Amino acid sequence: MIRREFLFAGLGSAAIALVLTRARVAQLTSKSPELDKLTQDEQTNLANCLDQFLGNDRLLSQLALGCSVPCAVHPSELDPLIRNLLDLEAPARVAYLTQAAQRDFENGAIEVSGGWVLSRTERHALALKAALIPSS
Amino acid sequence: MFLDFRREDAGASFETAVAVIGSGPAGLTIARELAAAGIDVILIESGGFDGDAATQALYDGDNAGVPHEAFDAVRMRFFGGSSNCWGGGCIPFENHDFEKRDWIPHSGWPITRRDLDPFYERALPVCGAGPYLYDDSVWSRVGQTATDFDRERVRYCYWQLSAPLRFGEAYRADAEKAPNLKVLLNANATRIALNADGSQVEAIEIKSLSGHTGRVRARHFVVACGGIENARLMLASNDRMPAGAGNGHDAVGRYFMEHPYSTAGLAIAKPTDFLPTKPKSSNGLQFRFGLTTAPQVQERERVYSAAVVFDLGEQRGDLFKTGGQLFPSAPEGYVRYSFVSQSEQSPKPESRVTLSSRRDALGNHLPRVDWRMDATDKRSIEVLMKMIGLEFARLGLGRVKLADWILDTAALWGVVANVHHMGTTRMGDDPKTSVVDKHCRVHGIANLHIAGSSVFVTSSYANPTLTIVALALRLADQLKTALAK
Repeated sequence: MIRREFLFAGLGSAAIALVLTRARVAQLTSKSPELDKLTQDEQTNLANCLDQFLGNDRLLSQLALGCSVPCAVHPSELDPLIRNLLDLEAPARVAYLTQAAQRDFENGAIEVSGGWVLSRTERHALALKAALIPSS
Repeated sequence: MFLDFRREDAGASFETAVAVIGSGPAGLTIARELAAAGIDVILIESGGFDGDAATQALYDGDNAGVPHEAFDAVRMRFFGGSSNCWGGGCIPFENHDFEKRDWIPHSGWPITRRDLDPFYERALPVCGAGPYLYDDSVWSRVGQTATDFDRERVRYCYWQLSAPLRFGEAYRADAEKAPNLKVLLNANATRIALNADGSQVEAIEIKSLSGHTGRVRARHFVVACGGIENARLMLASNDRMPAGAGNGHDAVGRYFMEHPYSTAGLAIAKPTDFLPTKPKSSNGLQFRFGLTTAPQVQERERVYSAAVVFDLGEQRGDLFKTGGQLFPSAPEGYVRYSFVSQSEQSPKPESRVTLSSRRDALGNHLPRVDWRMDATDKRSIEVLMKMIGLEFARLGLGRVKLADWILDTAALWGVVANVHHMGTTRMGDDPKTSVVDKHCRVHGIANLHIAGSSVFVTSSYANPTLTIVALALRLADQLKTALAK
């Protein structure tokens, strides 16, 4: 079980990055066998913790964990720039990002990362990716 | 007719109805208009028909503020003035440019865009451009369709491109033939001579580089020497008014504005024509396309107007030192574009032209320009680029990256000046904060008028020449009326 206290050390995605790294769950990407070792309850627990930092956006928490969400868009249909940016392969995350990013753009919810104008969701996803894969 | 004032036999004492100083787009337009109406005009021009180094050196000056191109390298001091180095961009100011915007200190013209509408129509052919075409119908004219950008975020803007017209070449024959227009070449206005109480101009004192001096007397005088020189001449005319002609409230020379010009970002986008990188032609007219910040965004974000045009590649690669981190190159099927911005900056009293301790070859003080910018000037470009980035992504056109200098908090600015000098004798109702009234007449001096971008209250993102000529035509009409009384 992931120890909950590690996840309350700060606010925002930068804090998540720090905490996740300290908790030694950086390997927990969808490509990592470590993720598969978590039980469904553990995954849910971790997602709940992340929710508190991400505006109760369960989908984004699931995204971070590589959990499956309904997939309506095949990765090949994703803007190749963002696919390149995030190095995303998993259909679930791709679908989520595509839909959420478009919603953000319609609402004007943008943030700048590395100079690039991104949707807020993409920005969070980038931060989470940096947290989960520090070498990226 | 033309007279070379270097010649001793050219005379030393002149009298006319209207004396105009400067033969650039403003001065030459006024002179031609008045002469065509049968009014006697003397047009005073510092140079001859071509540039020469000695005359051009009179345009030297000191820069004490944000780095600026050398002042003698960016203006032309011969017949036709700086139209001799004009790029040809013709674009009117927008309605909101004239309005008081509570988030822009010192904004608000005493005239409206509607006041200038008829003069914009007349100004276009004077500038060598076509009829008034500045809406989205331009797209169909060039056989294309506009992209459906959200007009509450960004809007298309359009420039008509003049050849560009060199006013001196284009109107030289007219000036030669006009029976009531006399052009004094190689005659430098050195002082505005006021009467004893400073309420009237009596004469303009002139001097050639060869040492010939003279005076031009007139009923009305128009100073049309450019955004820096107008202030310089007023400040230097300080024998009757210690701070300079029309400068009873220390307003002359203040509010100096430029058009900050930069590579504001890049886009990795699909190669389409939604924002052409080159001018498009239609029936002999040339159009340049741009995107500008929607007025609603300007108000909400409390920023100034800005516009970008699209270029292939990068104009200034050094602004993108880290630009390749995420996308070393454009993915297959995409093209890398750059955005070139031109933007408004707020009028600031501390951004100003004063007199340098250095003097020119005629013994006159050179100008000292202290160009200032602030964080909002910069943020205005950032906001536009974010809106463009948002719309590119929303419409699936591509993705946008802001130039590094915009996000570098240590760097206030990463631009060059687009050498549009504005605001130093601004228009207004209050003599304490302006130099000319809404008729371009100097406060407190009944027969002294100013033409050119120095009367601009705010600068818009739009190139100034068309507005300069529109205001000149308006002033010419007012002088015709005044002289008819």
